[in-house]
Amino acid sequence: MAFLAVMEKEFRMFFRYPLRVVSSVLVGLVFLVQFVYFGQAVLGGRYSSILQASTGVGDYPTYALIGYVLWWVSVSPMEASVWGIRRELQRGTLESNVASPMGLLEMVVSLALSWMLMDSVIMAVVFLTGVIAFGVSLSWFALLKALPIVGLAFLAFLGSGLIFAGLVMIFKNIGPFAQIFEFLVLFISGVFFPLSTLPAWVVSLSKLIPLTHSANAVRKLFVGFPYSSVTGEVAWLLLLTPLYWLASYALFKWAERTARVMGYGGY
Amino acid sequence: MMPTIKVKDLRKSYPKRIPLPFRRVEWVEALKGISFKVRKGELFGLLGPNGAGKTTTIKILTTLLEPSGGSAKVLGYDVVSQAREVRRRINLVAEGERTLYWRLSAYENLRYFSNIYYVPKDEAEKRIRELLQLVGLWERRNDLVMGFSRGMKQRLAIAKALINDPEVLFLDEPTLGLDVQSALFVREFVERLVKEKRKTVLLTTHHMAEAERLCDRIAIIDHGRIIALNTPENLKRLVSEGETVEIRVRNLRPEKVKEVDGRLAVSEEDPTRGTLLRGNLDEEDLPRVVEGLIRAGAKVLSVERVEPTLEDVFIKLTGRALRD
Amino acid sequence: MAVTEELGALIGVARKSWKVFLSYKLWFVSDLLMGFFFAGNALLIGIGLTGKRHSESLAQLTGYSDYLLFAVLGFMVLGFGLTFLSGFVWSVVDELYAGTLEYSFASPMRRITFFLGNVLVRLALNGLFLLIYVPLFVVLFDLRIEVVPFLKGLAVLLLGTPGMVGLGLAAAGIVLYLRDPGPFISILEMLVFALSGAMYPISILPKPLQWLAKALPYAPTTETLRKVVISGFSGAVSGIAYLAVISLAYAFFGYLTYKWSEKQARKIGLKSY
Repeated sequence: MAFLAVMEKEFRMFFRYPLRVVSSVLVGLVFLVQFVYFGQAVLGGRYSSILQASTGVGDYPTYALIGYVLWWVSVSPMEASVWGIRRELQRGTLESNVASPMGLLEMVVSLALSWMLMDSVIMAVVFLTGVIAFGVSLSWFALLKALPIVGLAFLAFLGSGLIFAGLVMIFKNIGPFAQIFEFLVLFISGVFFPLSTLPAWVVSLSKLIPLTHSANAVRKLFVGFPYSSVTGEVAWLLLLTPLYWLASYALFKWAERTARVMGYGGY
Repeated sequence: MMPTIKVKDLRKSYPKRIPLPFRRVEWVEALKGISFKVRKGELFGLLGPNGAGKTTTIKILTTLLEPSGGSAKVLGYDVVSQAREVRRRINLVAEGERTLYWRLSAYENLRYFSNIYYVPKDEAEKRIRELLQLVGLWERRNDLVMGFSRGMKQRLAIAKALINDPEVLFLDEPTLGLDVQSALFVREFVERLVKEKRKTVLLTTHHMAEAERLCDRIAIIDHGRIIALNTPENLKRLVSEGETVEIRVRNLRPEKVKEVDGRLAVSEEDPTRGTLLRGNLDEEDLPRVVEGLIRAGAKVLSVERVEPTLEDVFIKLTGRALRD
Repeated sequence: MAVTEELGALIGVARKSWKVFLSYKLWFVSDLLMGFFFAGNALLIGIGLTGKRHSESLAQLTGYSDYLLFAVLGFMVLGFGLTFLSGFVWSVVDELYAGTLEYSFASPMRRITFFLGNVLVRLALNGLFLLIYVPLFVVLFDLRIEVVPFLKGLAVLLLGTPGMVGLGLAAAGIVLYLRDPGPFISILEMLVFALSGAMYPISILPKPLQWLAKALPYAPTTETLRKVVISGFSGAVSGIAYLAVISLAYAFFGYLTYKWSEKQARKIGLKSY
């Protein structure tokens, strides 16, 4: 299967260099540690009643850890679209993929999925390290309960991230734009602070981001709330996922047509 | 008169891995003691196959690498202990396409190099203009190098190499990868530099015709040693007894050639036109060699007597052809 | 003569890196927004967790009750320190990739001119960012800072600079050897990030990490700078003395390391990609 071939290639290329894996984990951890330690230093502890009141989760390290890990995975398909495809463009290997019977669409989706799985591996390490380092109480049952939501979230992340696949084929050099966008997502979906601190219009905007709902839902399930408490979040995800997939698909088809007229090159 | 370049028993070894304290590393000898002198105003060529040690020699002479043994002086300055004095007075065109800033314009590239070569400002403006006109890029001076063709990039690289009005110019494979027209431009340009401006030029090439046409003297280098050094005419005299023949065959495995006759070497392999063998044979030997080829299973397509070139010198000296 | 020659070369290198930088316009916007992102996060974490614009517990720990000012000063040092580290290292790596390093190294210009010229633009940009950030943060986020203490803080930053330059040089020396320098550089950057004390007092780190943080020039700069801003030079004499020693030591160490590694690189040849 073509997807497995792409995935094997990407995994091999990434895990062949242990130093690169170590550096990814470290980048993931250090970034997280900054904000968690800052929050704790400001708070003078780990429990915030204000956070509890507005989100249902009062333990700051737990709150930040879950949001952050999901954020990292959520922007992964976007990174794959921007950097993975760009890399293939630069190497000139994109056209050989286009020319293969696999076709561009399958290759792009495979690439995004592969990157998301690789980042999931890295974030699993970061998550476990965070659980130990910050003393987060972990219940395997709650974790298991959150898995279906995580699966749904992955589908939504994939759909929204693939929008960038179309964009990169047309505009090529959108790396910095994507980076701005990634951090904007981190900011307005309330990864490190409760959404209640943001102006109302930003909060409404954040509803369009799958991460907002998935992080909220996973946090609630993680601290022991039942499924019935996350129906709102699940409904949002069920609504957003097909919309993003459709939008990505339409944009991608348009970009592919344009690229066929203008050529894939440009490097 | 003092020679412009003086190389004495120059040696260079590379470690196979980064040498760290307490780590045993193997060393590979790239230069095994070469010596030569280049006079002022001379166009001197280093000819040899890939990996022979040509680029290593240039990098040592341009102060980018330190030799492991022996000495090298350029304009009387030692390339190790007086590197900065050397750098002021020389310049180089390195091998390959990526040697300039692609994200800068032609003009910006030259201005950058004029700054880091300490060319005074007024002088620099004048020189950049002259050089860009000379290499035919003045009209394109404000375009980014990114959009240049391979030939234009090389012309700009040559302009860069003249930015400090160097006394000695080092060119590493200056025509490699260029189209026929650009290569011709580069050759004529280099020739004029030596004839009209009295520059000293040392160039490396694995292109025999180029070396033969351009160079006043040539050092043939192989496996880190100079195996012959003379003018092209004198070098060719080495093969003038006997005759040079080209034999085009098909269905012959290259490793069989030496079994037929040690004087033959494969000079070209082409799937459609067959394999071209070349060698210096006596007239009476020719029928026997052709017979031997046929017996080895080859289909002989043509046999032709040709003028000897430097390639034949190389074949005679090493038993191999100068292919890359 | 020699000095003006070298200055001309410095300006030439700076102009080159400016032009290259300009060709990536969007990175400028992205860099600028990064400051807002970090400060914004710090502010909203504070408000979201405590509901207030100041924190008693941070005041107890560090003397700063305004957590935003605490973080902004930390980012300032971090941004400055990383400019030397990443700037030096990437100027080598970028030119190695571009294939232009040998031409720059074959010129008579001094090496330090090459490195400083390459970070000059980033330094100027850092200054520009500060000029944009600080007034905006005062207006938007109610950042409370006075001019004179802030200038005193900048003097401390200057004192720490030779050490940060030295560490950058040492790192650039190592990079000359690496086939795949990306991971090494980001590990180094992250180490500096974690140990510079930008967002938290290093006293909350585990002991071994605290020692490591103290042994690098970044955290001493950050902590001394913060102290000087609230209590003046006289309140931070021991910090200043320690910083002066460590800064000089690193400047010396960096210079020697780089010299040694360049000599090695000329023995084994520069890496090419």
